[in-house]
Formats: sequence, C-alpha cells, structure tokens
Amino acid sequence: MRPKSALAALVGALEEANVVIDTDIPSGGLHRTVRQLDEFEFKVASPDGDVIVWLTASGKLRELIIAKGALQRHNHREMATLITETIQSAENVMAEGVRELARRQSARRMR
Amino acid sequence: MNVSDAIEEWASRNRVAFEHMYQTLARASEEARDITVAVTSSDGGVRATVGADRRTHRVEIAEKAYSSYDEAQLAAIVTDTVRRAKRGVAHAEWHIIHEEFGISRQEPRSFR
Repeated sequence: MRPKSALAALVGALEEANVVIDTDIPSGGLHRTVRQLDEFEFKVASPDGDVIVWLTASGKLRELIIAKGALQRHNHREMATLITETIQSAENVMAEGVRELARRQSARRMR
Repeated sequence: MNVSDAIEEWASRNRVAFEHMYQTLARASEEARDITVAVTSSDGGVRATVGADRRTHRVEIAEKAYSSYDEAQLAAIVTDTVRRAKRGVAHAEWHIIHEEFGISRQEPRSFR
C-alpha cells in the first residue's frame, strides 16, 4: 500500500477501534496507548513493489518482505536504499497517523 | 524557629532538590537526543542505524554477503537487525537515565 492510502487506512482503523491517544503517565495511559497501537499493523510498499514493510502503529518493525527476483534486479547498494526508504516511509506514515489521531481527538475534546 | 522560618527553610531545601532534579533531567534529555545506535547482524552482512527518535536512519548491506542471501534470508536478517537497533536505542536511554539519576533496578525485560 502506498504511504497516502496507508495513512488513511491506519487513521481509520485506529478511530474505528477507539484507540485513545492518552499520555496520562501516572494512570498508566502511555503504556495502554502503546499496547493498543501495537495491535495495529499497516503495510507500505516501495514504488516498484520489491520491498514491503509491515510496521505496527507504535513503530515496531513487524515484517519485511523482499519480492522474488528482487536481488537480481537491484545491486546491494540499491537494495539497501530501497529497504531504508521503505522503512522510513512506513515510519513517517506511523508518526503522521498517530499525530492526526491525536489532533482529531483533541479537537473533539475542545468542542 | 517559628513557623514561617520553618516553611522558608523547607521551601529552600525543596527548591534546591527540584533545581537539581530539573538540571539532571535536562542533562539526560540532552544526552538522549544524540543517541544513535548501529547494530550489525551476526554474519556481518547487514548493518542498521537507528536514531533517538526510533527512526531508521540507514540500512547497509555488504556486497560480499549480498550474493550469498536469497530474498527471504535477507528480509529476515534486516528485520532482526533493525529490531535490535531499535531496542538498543531504548536500552541506551535507560542507561542514561540510570546513570544521571543513579537509579538502581533491574533492566526492563524487553532489553534483555
């Protein structure tokens, strides 16, 4: 899934599951939030589809898939760059998704 | 000593303690901001570098090792190396706090 659609899917899934971005540490809110975020995985693929990354919404790398034949299509430097960029792209989606959810929840609380 | 002197002394003692705590926390945050952890796979073929924000800065693959991997092997080695680097950042943060505050307790399970 490309970053933009991954972001929409992630924010939608987090909202649907009523994940609350709660950083109230004394009551264990932060740990609860991280646990909740860990349950959500989302997928980001490189533009050529040779690398697919599954990341949890808390930022853990769940799985990385390299397509069959990809090692023949890229040399070691290209493959390292492709992997780095795909992981970074997933991490950006994760951070943006959590920020967006926090923004929506705080706007709702203000109303 | 009257009550107001006692309160003044208490406040002054706590002010010093809070200032010390604040300075320690500021020092620890400053140090933690510069954390970068690089981890190399056991076969030396893959290296992952992760920053204090837990973001992956770089994945490197050695040319020699590249030809000996198939896709599934490389994916598994990269996954494990990146995960260990991310855990290493948490570990490094824990050590900074431990050293700055002199906290003595068992390391969290996830670091082992």
